[in-house]
Amino acid sequence: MDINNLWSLRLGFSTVEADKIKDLGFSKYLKRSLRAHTEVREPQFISNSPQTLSELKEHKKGKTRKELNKELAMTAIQWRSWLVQQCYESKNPIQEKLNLFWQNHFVVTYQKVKMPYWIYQHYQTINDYSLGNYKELVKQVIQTNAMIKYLDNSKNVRGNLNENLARELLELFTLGEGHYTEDDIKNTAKSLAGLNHGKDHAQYRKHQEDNSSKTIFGETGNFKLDQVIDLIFKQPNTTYFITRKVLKWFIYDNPPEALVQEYGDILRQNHFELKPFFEILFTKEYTKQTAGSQIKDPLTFTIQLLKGVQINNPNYTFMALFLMTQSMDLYNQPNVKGWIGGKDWLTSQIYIHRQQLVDFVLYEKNSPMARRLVNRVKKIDGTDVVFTPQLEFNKQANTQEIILDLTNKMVFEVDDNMQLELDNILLYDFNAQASNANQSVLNVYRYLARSAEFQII
Amino acid sequence: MDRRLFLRLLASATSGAVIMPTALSASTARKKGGIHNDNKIIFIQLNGGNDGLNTFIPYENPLYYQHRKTIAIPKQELINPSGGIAFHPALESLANISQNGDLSLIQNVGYPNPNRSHFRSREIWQTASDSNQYLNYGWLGRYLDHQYGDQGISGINIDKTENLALKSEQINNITIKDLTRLDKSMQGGNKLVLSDNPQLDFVRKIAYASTEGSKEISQAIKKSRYTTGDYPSTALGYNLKWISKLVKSSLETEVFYTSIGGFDTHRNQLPAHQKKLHEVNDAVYALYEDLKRDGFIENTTIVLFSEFGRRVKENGSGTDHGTAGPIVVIGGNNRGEIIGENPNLSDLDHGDLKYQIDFRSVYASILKDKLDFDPTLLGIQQNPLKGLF
Repeated sequence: MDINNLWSLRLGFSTVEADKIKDLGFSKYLKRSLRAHTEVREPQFISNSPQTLSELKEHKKGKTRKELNKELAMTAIQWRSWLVQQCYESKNPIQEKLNLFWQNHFVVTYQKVKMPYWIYQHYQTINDYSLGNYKELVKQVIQTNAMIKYLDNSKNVRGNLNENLARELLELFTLGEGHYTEDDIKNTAKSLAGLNHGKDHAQYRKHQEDNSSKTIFGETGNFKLDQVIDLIFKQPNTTYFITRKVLKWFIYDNPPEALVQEYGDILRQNHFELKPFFEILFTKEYTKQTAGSQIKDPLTFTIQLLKGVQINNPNYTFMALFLMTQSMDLYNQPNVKGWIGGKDWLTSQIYIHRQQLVDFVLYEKNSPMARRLVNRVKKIDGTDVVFTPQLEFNKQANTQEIILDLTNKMVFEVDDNMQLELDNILLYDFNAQASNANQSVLNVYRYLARSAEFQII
Repeated sequence: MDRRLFLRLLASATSGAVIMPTALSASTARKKGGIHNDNKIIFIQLNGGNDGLNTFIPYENPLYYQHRKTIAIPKQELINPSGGIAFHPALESLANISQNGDLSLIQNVGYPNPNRSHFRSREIWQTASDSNQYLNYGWLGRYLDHQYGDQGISGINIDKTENLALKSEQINNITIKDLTRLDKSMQGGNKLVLSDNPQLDFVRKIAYASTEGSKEISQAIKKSRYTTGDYPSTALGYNLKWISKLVKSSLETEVFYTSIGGFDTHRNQLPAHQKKLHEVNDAVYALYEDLKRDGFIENTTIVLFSEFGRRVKENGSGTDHGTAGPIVVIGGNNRGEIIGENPNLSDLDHGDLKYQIDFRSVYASILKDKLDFDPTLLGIQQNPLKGLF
């Protein structure tokens, strides 16, 4: 695989950025991408959603539970489709890949939060702070109404503590298991007591707050959310914990500990500023041989597959539903730990579905999986799912050149066996100008997209 | 011969190993040294932390009603009372199994220095590790590595995602969500060539194992001379129905696994928990009846567990993460008794039950008594629990 294709995939979802990386040079491309921030534009379907609990109460009036559930299920699917669309159409894919990373780090799920507008605000908060300061990002995300709801902090009140948010703040959002005590959690829960739903974000409610003195990581005081997070960020493991996850998300299923240390230290030296951290990390990693170190996530798999055959207006609902079958249901992780990634992305079932998707997109070949999804899309928005794949290739090129162009984009390596099989699919006397040439090249594309190598970046 | 082609062939012959086609298939699954004794194990994992105290209720203990003013189950609704413990009313059929003498209830199961995080506690249960020990492979995965290597599909997990308990160094088990939708012609599934890239080999083995494995599985189910009983149309019912088909087939698969979520009842516990227990009750009873009818229950051990129990005192309408909880064992010729004392509600650790039986001693008993396997080979040092089989 060509290195610019590789890094286009690593920092986005397909190889479409490769030319830009090549033209600008990696470091200039990276600088530009990290600084090109786009605001989120509120999606249409969310405009009538209640934004506060009192609006929700108002909204529920005169509607049956069934109606409300149906409405919620509909917005849920629209929300997922919209997210897929953001990733697919993004002019700056790294921003979306980062947003998704943080969403999978600060998990909240649609299913539990049940307030579409709060979910949107969570996404917006991540988008606004994803390349700012990590400490500030944590402070902001914890205060989203979605997070308060997802981790039950509305039930965490003085004298009747609910530790859920406090525990995950330490265990999953910042420090990691083994770097705090049960007492730290209890005292953090006290600090968070009374932090409840508010107008735009969470607010402490005076009569639910716990103003007693708390001891967290050996320091004592009447700490509130901000101070607790300041204390957490003094702990050395904070930067290593997030660095390991960053390396896993972008490059390695098994990140070497030495790199975790190296980049973790850089994040701390930069006072948790994320732009220089990512810039240094990616720039250094770009110079290394890293191809073949990560199992491809379902979203990248799907987008790369479709973009590779010039599909410009895919059915985003179909894509979102496919991701559900791949265990990558957006904003609906199975639990607060988020998707684990790596080998967890693939099981036999998931790999079979990937191969079936390839056949459906390229040849409209039906499988129970595809049929089921197509029927669901029809029910949801009344549309028929049709893909019209088009593979561009140089009509002057010979067999080897066409194969090389595709393998450079699609697979991290070509071993002897693959080369032999490719030679059998596209014979050496293949005529690129023949009337059925397109079909023959599509067969190569199909073979590569179904290969084990394509499941890996 | 083309010189380049020749060199390539030579290279592939030396750098990649072609695995013999008998490996990774299901009907030829065989133990490396041991003798097959036809015992099969089915694990049902209750995800989220099942509230043991509201599943098997210590109704004679006034502390239970004191701590749980909102969510206690009233005495008059309880069923199958025995020795101060009664079943939740949703567990009517499990109570039947208990009266048949086919159900053992193991009380206060946990481990030292309990961890109240779902993931960590689940990891501990699934890897059979100490509280401060991190193991990469599951306890059943290690068992399969020991017994089978990669000579056969000896474990099947019916689920959407892989389960750490079955995570093994070698590919000897598969995770399938839907057995009706197995594709028998996966690309790359007909031969297995290995590389020096572990991620790549992982994907190749999945293709190979599922192609070969699914061929075997569907043939075995087709050939099976047994019919299948009626199962409730819940996700768990569906999964257990398939497991029953597989247990009754000619496959040598030894370990089956599945899970059900929804037990993390921080709030609104009463209706939510009741619904979940109903699902478990109906599906497990269907499996029990089905296996019993065809004479498989004696050799099939069904185990239900959860990563922890819940806090003794309620938090309003629900309960927070706790520690020890019950394990239920059905079938496999168990003695049908209650093992361990009733939960002690006055001697608590940070508001949580103190464990009395280490979960690894239950594993040890299953390994030793049912699978003829020495648990210490998996690093399980606890003595097998007495009185279970």
